[in-house]
Amino acid sequence: MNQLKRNTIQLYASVLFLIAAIAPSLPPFKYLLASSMVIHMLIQIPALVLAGYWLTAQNKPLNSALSLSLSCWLWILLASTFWMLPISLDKALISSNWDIFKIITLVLSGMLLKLAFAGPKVLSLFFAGSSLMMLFSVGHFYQDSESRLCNSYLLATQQTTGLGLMLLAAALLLFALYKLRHDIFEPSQNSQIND
Amino acid sequence: MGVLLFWGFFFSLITSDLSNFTLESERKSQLFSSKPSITLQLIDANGQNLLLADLAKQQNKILVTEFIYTRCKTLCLTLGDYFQQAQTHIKAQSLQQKIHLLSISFDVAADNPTRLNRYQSRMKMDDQVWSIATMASDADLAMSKRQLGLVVLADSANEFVHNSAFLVISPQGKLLGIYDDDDIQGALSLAASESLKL
Repeated sequence: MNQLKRNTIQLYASVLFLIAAIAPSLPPFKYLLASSMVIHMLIQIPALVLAGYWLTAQNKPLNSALSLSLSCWLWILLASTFWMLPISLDKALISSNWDIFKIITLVLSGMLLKLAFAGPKVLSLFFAGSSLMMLFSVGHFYQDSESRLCNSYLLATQQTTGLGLMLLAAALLLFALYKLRHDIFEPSQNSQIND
Repeated sequence: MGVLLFWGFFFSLITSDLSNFTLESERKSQLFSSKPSITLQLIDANGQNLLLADLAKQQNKILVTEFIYTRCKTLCLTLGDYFQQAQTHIKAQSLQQKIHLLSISFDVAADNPTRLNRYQSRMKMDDQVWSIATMASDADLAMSKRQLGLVVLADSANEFVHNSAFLVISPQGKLLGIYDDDDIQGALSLAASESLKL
């Protein structure tokens, strides 16, 4: 009973969070998205993924098959690459079709995260590693670039966003290391389970 | 597999088959293929009201234009430098009768003939080779944004942040080509080769 109550609260909370994440794309709040690249890339995009993740978080992790988890990882990697391109950010601001596409693909990425992590640990390590590496290099590129890459944003917010992306990548790397500490530092215990 | 196909499709859609990763490069390649006719109402440094196409016809030369505002202390200075070099280059190659440089201001509210004159003398413009005009109204600015993909954002310090390009325009007012702001040579060589066809 208590568990059920908690699940309901969690569901409502994650729906509210999802609405909050979508809000900057809606007319009265659209200026937020247009005013700063930081809000677009470092707040809305991660919030959409997180909202998707929380929507599925109350379900028990599935014992995912290799191919399913591989597909999930591919989706997450490609979706995050896509929304790191300067042209994608510009188009999402200009056209509402691309903005809707952004919301759907990113929320779905968040929803697939749990399934992706349920697969073999080696896949998780590989894909999380390469995504974070990419996040870091894109951040460095944005921070270092002398020219404006997005037509809609000023150079200063582009550089701040770049720095933020690098910090985010570093923070996520530490978090991933913490989460996977048993698999990385005490491999003998876990390899038996996996076998 | 489906995931790869799905994202492959959308990647190639948004980057026009992996050729444009920024909106600015998409803008330039689209304009290069569509080559629109430009109808802009301008006010020149003498306060005269005229159409861009009329100016091009009057000169009967290939126009090389850039969009600036005269107060600008950053990007426009570089653009101005390039035009100064181009002016020297045009005189040295005696192309005065074939190529004309035109700076167009998008600062409709502030740039009036007095300011244009001041800019003219500051940049040491030779009016046989290089002239300046401002857009006549906000409607012209809106038109340039829509038709030419000009981006002008006001920033917090009452300055403008804008994109930049060199546009090559025929005497009929038709766009012939558009070049990055570090490729004045490309614009001048297109203008030179087009001027042979006049």
